[in-house]
Amino acid sequence: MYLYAEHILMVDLTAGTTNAGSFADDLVEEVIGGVALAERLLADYADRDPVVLATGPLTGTLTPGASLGVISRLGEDGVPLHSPLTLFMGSELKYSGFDAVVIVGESPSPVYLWLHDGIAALEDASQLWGLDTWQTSDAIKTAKGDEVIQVLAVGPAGEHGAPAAQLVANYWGTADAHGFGAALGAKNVKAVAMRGLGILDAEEAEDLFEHSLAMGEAVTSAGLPANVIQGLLGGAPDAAACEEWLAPAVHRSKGCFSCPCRCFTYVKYNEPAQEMASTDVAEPGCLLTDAEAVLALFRGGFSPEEAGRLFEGVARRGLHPMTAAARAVAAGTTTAADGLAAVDADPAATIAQEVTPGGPDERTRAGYVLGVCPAFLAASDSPGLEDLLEAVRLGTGMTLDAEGFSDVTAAVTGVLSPRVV
Amino acid sequence: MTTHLQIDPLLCNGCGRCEIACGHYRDEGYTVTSSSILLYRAEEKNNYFGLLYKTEDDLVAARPDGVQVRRQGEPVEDSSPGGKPILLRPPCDGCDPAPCARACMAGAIRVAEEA
Ligand code: SF4
Repeated sequence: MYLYAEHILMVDLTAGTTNAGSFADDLVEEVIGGVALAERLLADYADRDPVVLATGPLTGTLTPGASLGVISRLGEDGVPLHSPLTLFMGSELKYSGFDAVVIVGESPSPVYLWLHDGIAALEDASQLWGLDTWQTSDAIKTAKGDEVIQVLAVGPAGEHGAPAAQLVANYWGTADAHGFGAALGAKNVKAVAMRGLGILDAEEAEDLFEHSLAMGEAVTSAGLPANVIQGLLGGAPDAAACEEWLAPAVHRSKGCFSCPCRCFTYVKYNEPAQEMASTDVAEPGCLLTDAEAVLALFRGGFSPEEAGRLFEGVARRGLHPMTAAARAVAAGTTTAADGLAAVDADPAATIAQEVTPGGPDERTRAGYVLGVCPAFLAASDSPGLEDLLEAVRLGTGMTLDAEGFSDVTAAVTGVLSPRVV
Repeated sequence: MTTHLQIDPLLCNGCGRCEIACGHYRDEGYTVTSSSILLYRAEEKNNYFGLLYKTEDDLVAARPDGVQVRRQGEPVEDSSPGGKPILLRPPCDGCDPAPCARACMAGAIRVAEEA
């Protein structure tokens, strides 16, 4: 079916095999994609400790905010747990040739999964085991000779099964609040590396193209939605003071694939923040991906530079930023070195789960099924649900109405977070 | 010749939508392999991103520290590692309205005024 990569990959770690199967159109008509597809695949392989990566029909398209992929597993009580994949992780996965990847079993030795051009391979990762996430991403990019490869990396925290071990996106923290670093580490998987040079075709190519650009124009003419990070901070009484505090270290902010927002702020602490050139300082700073964690360190008395250094250390370890920031502040530390020592002294720290009363709203659920970032959908009134469904109809030729779609989103039972930054 | 596009790299938010839009103009599908403009995202660790743009005669590197125009054939550092290098792509044919500029939601790409 158009707009999909049309392949679901089965990775059996125990057997050491990968198997790319064409997906059945009726499966997609039933579950559409994203978290709904992930939940179906989790159910199908429930007895084999599955971890699923999935994209939606709009992931990787020109729909504004179409960056989203998800990674999913079953919690101890059997309830699906979903973490969003943003930046270029969702789009790269789909362009690598797979709508979804099911990873089952456990590898006898460390491996990483390498996806490109519709091909999947389990590569030896024994040399990578023990490396931090920055070293891991660098090593894979170097080994494959392509800097643009997207790496979901497990850090030492995930190797050791720390409950707060999250997956890191190339070098940066993510909104994974379900410990996928530990989940993959337990399977002896060090990383998932992706490069997407494929092509996604659309049923009504020209109409979808015009519709997608019109959706983008509606977003920009309404005024760009607030930077989601600012939006999050905006609710706090000391938000303006926090921004002022951070400003001297800010280099430049950026967003995800096909999104107008700039949710991520890069700070420099190893060279002047305003240095715009690429200098011989290879690692001048860090991308801040968790607004609440930044606010916590501001309140805790960190300098912005020390906060940046702490987040680098946290990302290298593959830990959840807010959990680490809370630990550093609770220990009364105000430097990266002391804060990281406090974090290291508490490897059993768990991620405090945010619970949205009544569950996430319909728009968030729709984004998680279609592959559109829920933070973007929360920040911008357009596109509306009907616009998104029209994009699916034009792209796939499916007859999908709001009612049918709401049956799909209503059937999603897992834990979804509206927060992706 | 003046280039068809004027690019302000500091307005770019790194979303890559221009690349997909141009690719669609070429191939009627979504892909990053056939555009004349591409998001330079190879130096992620130092947050150094911008746009590369190929015209008939020139290669325009719109980087955060400035826009450089190089005649084709002049040596350039390989600025699009992996994937499909910009030098192997079709040059911009000056199509109008330019899908890359329409797709850019950050205001970083504008069609240049006729010289
Ligand atoms: S809203 Fe923010 S997190 Fe979501 S896709 Fe846009 S830039 Fe990324």
